[in-house]
Amino acid sequence: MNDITRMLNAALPDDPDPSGWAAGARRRSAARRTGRAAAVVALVAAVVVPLGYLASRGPDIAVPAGTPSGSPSAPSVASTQPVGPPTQAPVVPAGENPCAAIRAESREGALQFTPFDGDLPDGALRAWLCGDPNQGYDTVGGPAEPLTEGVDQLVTAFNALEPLPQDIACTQEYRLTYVVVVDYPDGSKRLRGELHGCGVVSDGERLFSGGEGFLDTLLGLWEQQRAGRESPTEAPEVCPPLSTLLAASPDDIVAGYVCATYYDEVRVQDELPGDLAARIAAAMGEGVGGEAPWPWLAGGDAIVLADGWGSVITVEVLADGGFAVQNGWLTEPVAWAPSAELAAELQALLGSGASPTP
Amino acid sequence: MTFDQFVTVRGRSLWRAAFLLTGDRHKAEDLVQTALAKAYPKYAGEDGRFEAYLRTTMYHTYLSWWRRKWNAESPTAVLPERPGDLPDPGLSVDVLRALATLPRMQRSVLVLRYFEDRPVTEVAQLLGISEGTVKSYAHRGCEAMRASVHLTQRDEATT
Repeated sequence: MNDITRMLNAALPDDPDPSGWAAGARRRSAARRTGRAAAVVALVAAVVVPLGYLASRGPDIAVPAGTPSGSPSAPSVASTQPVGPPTQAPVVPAGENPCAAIRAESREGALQFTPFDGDLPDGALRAWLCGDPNQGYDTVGGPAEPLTEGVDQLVTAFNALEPLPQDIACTQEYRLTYVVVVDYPDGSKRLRGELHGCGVVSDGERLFSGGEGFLDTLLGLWEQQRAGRESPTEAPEVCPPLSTLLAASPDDIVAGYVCATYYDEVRVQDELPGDLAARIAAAMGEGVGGEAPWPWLAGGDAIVLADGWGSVITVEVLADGGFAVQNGWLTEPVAWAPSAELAAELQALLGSGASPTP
Repeated sequence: MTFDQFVTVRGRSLWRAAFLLTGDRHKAEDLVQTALAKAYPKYAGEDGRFEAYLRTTMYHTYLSWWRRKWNAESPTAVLPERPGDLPDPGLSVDVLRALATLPRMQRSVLVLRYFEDRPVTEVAQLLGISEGTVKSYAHRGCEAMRASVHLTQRDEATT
C-alpha cells in the first residue's frame, strides 16, 4: 500500500446508512421517465403549431434550424462559431479557435506554454479565451468568437500585472484555470490564469498576481465587443450545456432545449415547444431568490436557454420542487420561483420535484 | 440478488469513493443516488457488470456535472470516526483539502487508481481517456498531493 492509498483511506469517515437509497433510486428513475414522456408529448403537439403563430410572437425569438437529437458526442460550444453574420466585418481574418486543441493537449498531459521575456508586445491581431482545460468533459468554456477589438487593452492589462516570486506557496482549493491565446502575425503567445491557489497569471514560467482581475478585464472586453455587434440569431449546439465564462442576456435568447445526459446513451437535446423559451427568459426577472439550496434533483437534466453567442442559462429542479437557475459559470445558482403555470410546464419537462431521500 | 440487496451490499463502497471525489458526506450521497437512479433501469440481477456500469455512471456524472458549487467544495470538520487505526483524526481534513486543490479529472484518476485499486487500462476505459493520460494525471496528482501545503505543513509540525 503506497502513501497515497494510505492517505485516501485515512480520510474516510464512518459509512452512512444506505437504507432508502434503493427506493430513492427507483423514485428518481421513474420521475425521469415521466418527465421525458411528457416532453415527447409536448414536442409532438408543437409540431402542429402553424408557422404563422410562431411568426406572430415577435422578432426577438428565432426558431433555430432543427437540431438532431442523439448526437453521439459532446459538442464543444467553445469550438463552434456562432451562426449568423456580425454587423461589421472583422478587423482581421478570423483564425482557428485553439481551445479544442488546448483541451486535447491538457487531457494528454501535454499542454505547452512557451515563456517569453518582457512584456507582451504591441501588434496583437486577436485573442482567444479558453475555459478550463482541466475539468472533465469540457464543462467550462470561453467565448466562441475571438476578441478582435480592444486587443491592445488586453496587452496593456497583462503588462501591468505585478510579478510574483516563483516559490510562493498557495493553498486555495481548485476553482478554475483559463487559457488566453494572443495571436500575432508571426505566431501566438499563451497565458494561463487561475482563480485558486494564489490566483496567478503565468506565461508558463513567470508568475504574476491578479488571475481574477485579469479574467474580469478579459470578460469586460468581450462584453464590450459583443455590445457593438448584433447578436447571432441561431445558437450553436448547447447540449450538454458548456457552462460559459460569459453570461447570457435573457433579452438575447434565441433557442431553448431540454438537455438530458445519460452515461452511455446519447445526450438528448429536444427543442422547447412553441414560445416556451421566450416565456422562460421573460419570467426570469421575477421570483428570483437567494442562493439555490442544495441538493438539486435532476442530476444532468436541465432546461437550457442559449443566446446566439453560445452563452447559456440553465434551469434545474430542486429537491423541494423549486428551481435553480445559473447564468454563466462565474455566478452562483439562484433559487427561482416562476408562476404556478410556468412551473408546471417546467416540471413536466424535467420530471418530479419530489425529494429523492425518504 | 435484488436491487435493494445490491445497494445494501455495495452502496457503502461506492459512497466512499464518492466521498473522496466530493469531500462532503451529503454530496457523496447525492452523487451515489443520482448514479443509482440513472443505472437502475439496467439492473437485471448482479453479475459484476451492473456494478461496473454503475461505477462508470457515477464518475461520469461527477465529471460532467457543471454546477459551480462542486468546484468550491471546502471540507471542514469531517473527522473519521473509525476506531483503532487512526492516530491523527485531523489528517482526514488535510487530505480532503489537498484533494480539493486538484482538478476533477486528476482527483478521479487518483481515487480510481489508489483507493479503488483499478488498473490503468480499466481507469482509461472508465473515464474515456488514454492510458497515457491516466498515467500522466496519476503522476501529477500524486506529486501534487505529496507537495500539498496542507500535508507538508502537517509533516513539518510533527517532526
